[in-house]
Amino acid sequence: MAFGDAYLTYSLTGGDLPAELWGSETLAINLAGGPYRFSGLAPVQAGWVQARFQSLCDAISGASAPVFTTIHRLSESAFREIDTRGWEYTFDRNYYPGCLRLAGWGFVAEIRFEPGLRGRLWTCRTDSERFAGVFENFFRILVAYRVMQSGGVLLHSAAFARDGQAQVVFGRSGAGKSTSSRFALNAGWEVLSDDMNALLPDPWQVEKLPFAGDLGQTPSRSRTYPIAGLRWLQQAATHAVRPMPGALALARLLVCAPVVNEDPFRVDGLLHNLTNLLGHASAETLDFARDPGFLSLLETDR
Amino acid sequence: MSYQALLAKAVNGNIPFSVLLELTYRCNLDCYYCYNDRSNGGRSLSVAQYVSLFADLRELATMNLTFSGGEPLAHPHFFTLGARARALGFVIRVKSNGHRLNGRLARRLLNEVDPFVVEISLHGASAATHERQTQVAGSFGRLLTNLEQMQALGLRVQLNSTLTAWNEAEMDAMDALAERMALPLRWNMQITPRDNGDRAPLDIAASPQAISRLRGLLEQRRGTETTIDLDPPPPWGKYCGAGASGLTVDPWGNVYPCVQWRVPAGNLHRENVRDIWERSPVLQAVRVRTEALATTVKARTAGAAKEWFCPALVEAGSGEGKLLLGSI
Amino acid sequence: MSAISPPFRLCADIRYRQIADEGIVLRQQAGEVLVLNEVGARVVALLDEGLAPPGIVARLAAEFDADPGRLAIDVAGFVAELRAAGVIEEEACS
Repeated sequence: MAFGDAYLTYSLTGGDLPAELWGSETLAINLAGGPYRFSGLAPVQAGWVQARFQSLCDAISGASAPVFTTIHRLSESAFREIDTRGWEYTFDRNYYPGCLRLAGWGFVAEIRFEPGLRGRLWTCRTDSERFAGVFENFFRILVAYRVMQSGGVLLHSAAFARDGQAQVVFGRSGAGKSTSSRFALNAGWEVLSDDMNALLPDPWQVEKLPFAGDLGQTPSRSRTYPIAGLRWLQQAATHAVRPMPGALALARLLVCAPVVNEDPFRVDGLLHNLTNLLGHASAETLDFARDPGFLSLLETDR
Repeated sequence: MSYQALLAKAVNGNIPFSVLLELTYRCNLDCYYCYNDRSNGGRSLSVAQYVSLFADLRELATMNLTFSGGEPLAHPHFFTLGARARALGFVIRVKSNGHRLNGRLARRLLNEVDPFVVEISLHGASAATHERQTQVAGSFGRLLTNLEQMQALGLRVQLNSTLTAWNEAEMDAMDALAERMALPLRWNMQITPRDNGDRAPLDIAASPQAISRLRGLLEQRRGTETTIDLDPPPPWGKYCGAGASGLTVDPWGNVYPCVQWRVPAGNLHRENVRDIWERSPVLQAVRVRTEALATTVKARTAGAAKEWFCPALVEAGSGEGKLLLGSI
Repeated sequence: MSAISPPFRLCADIRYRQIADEGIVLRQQAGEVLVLNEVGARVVALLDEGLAPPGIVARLAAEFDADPGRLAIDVAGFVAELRAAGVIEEEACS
């Protein structure tokens, strides 16, 4: 199947997509790597973004943003009807040296890699529920690339902070990120996010991202925290912290760095960033027995 | 404990000591007898998926990682993957046609991947014979030049040759060529069908006389590197290491018990390799089969040294694994 | 054993794996294989994790319920053998 065939009713070729914007609303979202400026929104779309991201939405100043996206109108007839029963949603992606193209349910997008990022998002969606899905999916990908461009990494991880420092635990689905976060929260730690955090350099800090997970979806800009520990979480009978060779840590981190880790043109850049991260903070394996006892092992870092 | 005893431990203990990765079915040559099923397709594994696989294999105690194909250097991320595998401490083997491995690329292979050995396919002792197989004019001369450059850089190189009707008259000349180049030459006597069952490659199988002659030559050299095919089955609890001490992964993430046993045990797009290794019913069935085969062969041929055969090929040829046991 | 024990690392030419309770070391250039027993394998694994000999002794004493004094002598001797065989080298000081 050619790119976009699963979602679009016609074949995409360069220059085929209309330039018409949905509206004239502009806003910016201020979080890791940003601000992220969005222009061309219809009022209902802008309203949804402001309601979703609340205090993260900034008034637009005259200064240019490193990430600039325009929202374009594409008619519903351009998109296929999809029977979502039992459907596993994956985007179509086409990678190029200078850009990335995406197609999904109700949208097509392009992200160009310039100094900063230049995004264009075509959608037929204005109703809150379905525009939410389009915007959130696209924005998450934009943030992943911008954080990578900034020398950092978007990491599937839980992060919890105490006394001015953060512990970052990363691992496969089901490893216990959310469970460990709940234990940390109950013990008085600040949980940044139990699912997705941005790690940025100079100096290395972790910032929560308001995208997913059971905790930490509140769209407020938390302070960033220096990284005190990087731990690969795996379930075990007893709690333990064990050293992890650097090459193994790099491999595990790469797996947990979604979106960019699939991009053949930018994965080397991601590896470079992860190598830098490991130069700052070595990773360890955290054997997690699904009770709060592991927190005492983290306390010894301080 | 000796290395052989350790290998036996891997086979008997189901430790995937050696894994072969078919990185791509793309190739810059077009060998007539190539066994790849190029009609087979799917979603390629990403760099991150390979790196995750390497990390999991390391934890499963895999030591040997072979990059194969098609032509593994044709994979767009060969060097990134090779460097990651090296960093994770694998003993890396690269099976290549050598066509691209000129001095610059060979130096890059040495510096970035540092393979234990590069295994290069040699199809004849003359351009006419070699290129009859590769179907690319000039590939023989280019190969010889590249071999010299690889050796000059200090890469450990081994030549692999399959005896065919096309090169059987050059058997001695191929040995002599290898000797002149001071390279080991490992012979394979058996052409296999393509992985999709196409038996066309068998049309160029070597004559029985040539096979017999080669067998005799190798018998004389028993105890050197080139005699593996003649060794009797080792004293393992299973007849071979398929699905017990090794795995093969194709470019689409399908996991097989070995390069020959093309029944998928799982797919890395859906599961991680540890789960496949520990839970796949296909692997469990293969282990049971090879264990039963070892017992049967031992019982029915007690005391006599027997030539090894590939259970997967027999099963593919007969279409039924049980016939394999019944025919001994 | 010196009062300050340096950390070691596996030499660049070395490939190592633990197979069940044994270890296998390959010296790639030479094509030589060494097979280590359970304790030897554990020592190499701990060296690869970055532990210096005193830490290795402490860990092995706990794991094997062994006399630390005796272990210290054995570990020192084994580490010296590994160095002489080109399996490990001292980490460069930063």
